[in-house]
Amino acid sequence: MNIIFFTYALITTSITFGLIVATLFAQRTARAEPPCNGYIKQIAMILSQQTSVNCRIRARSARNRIALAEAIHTVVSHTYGSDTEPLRDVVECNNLDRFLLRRIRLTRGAQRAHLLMLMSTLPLHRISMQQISRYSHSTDVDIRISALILKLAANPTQAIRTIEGLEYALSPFDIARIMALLRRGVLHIAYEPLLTSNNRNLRMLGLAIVRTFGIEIAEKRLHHIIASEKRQAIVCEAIYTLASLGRPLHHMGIRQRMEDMSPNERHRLCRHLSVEGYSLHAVKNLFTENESLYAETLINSYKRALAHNTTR
Amino acid sequence: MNSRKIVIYSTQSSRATLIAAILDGIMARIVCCSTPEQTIATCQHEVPEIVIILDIAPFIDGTELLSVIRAIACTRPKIYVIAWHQSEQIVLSLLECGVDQYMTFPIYMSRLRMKIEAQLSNSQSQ
Repeated sequence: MNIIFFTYALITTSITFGLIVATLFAQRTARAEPPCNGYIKQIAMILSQQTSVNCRIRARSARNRIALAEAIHTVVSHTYGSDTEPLRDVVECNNLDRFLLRRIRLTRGAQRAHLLMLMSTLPLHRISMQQISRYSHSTDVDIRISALILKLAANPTQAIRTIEGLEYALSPFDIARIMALLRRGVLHIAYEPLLTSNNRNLRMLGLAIVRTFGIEIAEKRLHHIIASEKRQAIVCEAIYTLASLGRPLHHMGIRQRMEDMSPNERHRLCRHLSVEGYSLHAVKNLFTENESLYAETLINSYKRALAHNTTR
Repeated sequence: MNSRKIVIYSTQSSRATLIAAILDGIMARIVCCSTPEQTIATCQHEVPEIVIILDIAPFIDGTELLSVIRAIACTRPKIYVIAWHQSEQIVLSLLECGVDQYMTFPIYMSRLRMKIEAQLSNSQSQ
């Protein structure tokens, strides 16, 4: 009986002790700054030239190397215009490229896509395109686009050829990720050859560039696309781009192409034009009476919200 | 002790750390906050010259962070918002809400530092 009681007491005491130790450890970990944040500070100081390049950043464990790669990704993807040359030494010293490639090989799914994304922001001396190409043909959409971004970042001079060679259509999300590269100044692509290209992906990318950077001088080319393009998705995108530039949409060519749109597409466009600030008169000229009633409701509700804000 | 203070609000600690590291060279005390409540409490306690918000969520989720900061602060801190959004509608809405400066990611590090430095010296001369 005594032995049973003693064993019971021993087990209970060890469980309690274990729980206390685990709680203390968890509290300590929560209080401690994540390793990634420490690296971010060091990298930002190197890039803003507050620290000499000789400052060596060391990541000895696998956890720290991932944290270092995440820190470089955070700094590089949120800033532009800095000379990333000093970071090459940091990548080389810590063997980050080889470490990430090995990890990418061993992981699957979202983790692999995340590691590919981290690798796309590393300043690399050389990268074997063969090693990345195997991921470009992945059936996982996330891995495929992350590999494409890595390819574009590693070899920006071949960007147009790379996108042209894609066998699948880029989604708006994929194009937004390529646009992020453009905004960081990694890719230098002119919009004009993209708009004249017959390739769907290049044309969509060209329209995204015009839309993002508000290139008003591209209006003529947009009208040409709307009039001559056979693919409805590109025509829709061109009309949306024209609307985002705030240009008039009353041309006969645009009206004719709008007639080919499905009721849902017309409804979506009507909403978009109302939100973009087109007058009710302009919307009524493009849509039927029933359709423009929706725009009227939207515009009236927005005006009411503004009146409410000013009176408060 | 620095009399000039900057409060940075972001739900992602890495982003707040990045902005704090960029502004590290300027002579100001920088406090990073991760929740709207913490930001409000810090603004009440520290009375900052500039509040940098790295997200547009506090303007659309009903938090009304900006009006609370304006209401509790005895001075009028300048509100800077840095986010990824480029839409004219969003920028206009933020300015209507009372945001003083809107910048988009990616940012140019030295330009941000110079802008904040200029703002701090303006606030001090006033």
